[in-house]
Amino acid sequence: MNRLSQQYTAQRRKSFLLIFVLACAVPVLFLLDLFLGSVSIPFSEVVTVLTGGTSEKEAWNYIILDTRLPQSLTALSAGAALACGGLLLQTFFRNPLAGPDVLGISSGAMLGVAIVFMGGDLLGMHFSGSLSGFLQVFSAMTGAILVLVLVVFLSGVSRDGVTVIIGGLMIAYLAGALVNLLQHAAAREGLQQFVFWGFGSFSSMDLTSSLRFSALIIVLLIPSFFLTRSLNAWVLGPVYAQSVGVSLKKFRLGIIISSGMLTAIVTAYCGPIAFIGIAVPHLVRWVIRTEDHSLLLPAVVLLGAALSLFCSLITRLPVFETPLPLNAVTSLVGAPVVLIVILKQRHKGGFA
Amino acid sequence: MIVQTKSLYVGYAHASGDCALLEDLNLSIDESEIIALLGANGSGKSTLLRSLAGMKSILAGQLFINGKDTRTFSGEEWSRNVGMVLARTPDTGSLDVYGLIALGRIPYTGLFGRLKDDDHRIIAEVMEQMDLSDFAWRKVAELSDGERQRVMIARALAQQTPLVVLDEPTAFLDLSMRRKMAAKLRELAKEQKHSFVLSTHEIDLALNSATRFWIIGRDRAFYDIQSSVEAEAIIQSEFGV
Repeated sequence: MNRLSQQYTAQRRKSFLLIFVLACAVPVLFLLDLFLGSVSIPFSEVVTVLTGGTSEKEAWNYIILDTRLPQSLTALSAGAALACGGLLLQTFFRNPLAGPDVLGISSGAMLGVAIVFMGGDLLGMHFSGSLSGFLQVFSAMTGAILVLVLVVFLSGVSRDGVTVIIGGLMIAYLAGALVNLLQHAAAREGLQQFVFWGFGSFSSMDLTSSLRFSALIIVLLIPSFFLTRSLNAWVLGPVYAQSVGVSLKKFRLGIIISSGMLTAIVTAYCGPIAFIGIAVPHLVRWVIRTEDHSLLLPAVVLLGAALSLFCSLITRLPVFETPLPLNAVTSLVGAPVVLIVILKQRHKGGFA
Repeated sequence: MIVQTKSLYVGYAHASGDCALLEDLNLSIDESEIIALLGANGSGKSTLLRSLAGMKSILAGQLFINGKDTRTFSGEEWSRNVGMVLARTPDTGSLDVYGLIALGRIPYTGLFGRLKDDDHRIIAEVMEQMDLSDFAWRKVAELSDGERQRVMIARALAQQTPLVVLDEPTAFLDLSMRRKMAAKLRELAKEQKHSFVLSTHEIDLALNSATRFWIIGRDRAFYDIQSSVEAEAIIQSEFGV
């Protein structure tokens, strides 16, 4: 061990500390999400229900197991997925603004869902139950991945990051216009369903679905970690990445599939959730100032989960009679964060 | 002999037919050589360099590196045989000097890119060679152009490839930096047995530091010359300088 490698290890320790702090914060926030809500339930009762007992009030059982627990699980996994997808896209496009919402990926998913909710009405078909759920996810995925492929194609045509972002925005407008046309022609029921979906929500699932959702997210997060080495190489751009043995085709495909699936699935189930995907990688890079994805990825996944649990907590603080729209809260929290971090970062150089 | 080409054609592959920029090249590169690649813009310098580095597939002929036919090379094999330095340093984000040079070790690290003792030793060595030891924790984005280019060369050296190709490495450096860079490359070639191929427009610098000259003249005539006197004569007749 020479002097430099010791300093290197010491620097990494700072990042490990952040990861450790976040790893502790996530369970704490998770529990807070279970203990706090519009109905106040005594601490001991929550513990009883969570440890398999039954509460003295039937309603409390229901609130904890069928409302708060699935909501917290969904918030946790959705946040982790969106933040991870955001980091992958920011590194891949080498652009601090890249993210599912900016690149039009959310809009693609939105168009897919709009077609299911409202297009069916137009054709005189109405989907319900599990078929509707399946179609919603399938069409959101199709929409999201189609847009992502389009954006990646754009990035191949023009190496200029600004073009890609503008291209993504234009795709978002186009999708938005098509959604507007559908809304214009849609029947009331489908329209209402779609508008509520657009608010974003972690509470659309029961316990079984939220467990299934979380398991799916975990499975989809794993491949991103296998991209670590290529992501690190990619920081210097495609030519240098290739010169250290990264296969451009495989890497591109890996990014499209990973980030596309992660954002698409969350968007399908929870609606287009703003800002978690962009804000979290910024926050992490701001704190640990590294481009090493073996540190960035775990930190981003954990902070994404934490921030999303925090936002979910705010939407249903006891002071509000009905839960706030989730997207309003994530935007109120996320937009200032991005702004502050970018302004602070300007003097230090670097693209994040 | 590190590199050998047999009737090599490089250029652009199109569906409608290949467009060769340089034809029928029979070249070789020995250990410790510094080859200056000279020619007008658009004459095919970058294309040749990229083909030598495996970033661009060759149109016809054969390219051998360390006696092996590169048609069978995987991306990883290329990365262990040829390193690369470009004229312009890309956006480096919040990378520090140590972290950037460590990226040169990627071909040798495992799935998650963890650095082992050996990697740290090699990084420290190349930092020493490029006089960067005091810069280890400086952000690359805050360095001067000359310092940054030294970091990029150190990264390529950390990759421990027998051949390093440099595409106009001195284009954005001032005069004294160019001289220092040339001296540094000579020293590395001599002491570390590295071979370099670098494209450049600096004729004087090339004539003073290279051990061999590849000159692309008018009509894409290709000259492979060892004597700098002869090279100067050809440059004069081809480019009139």
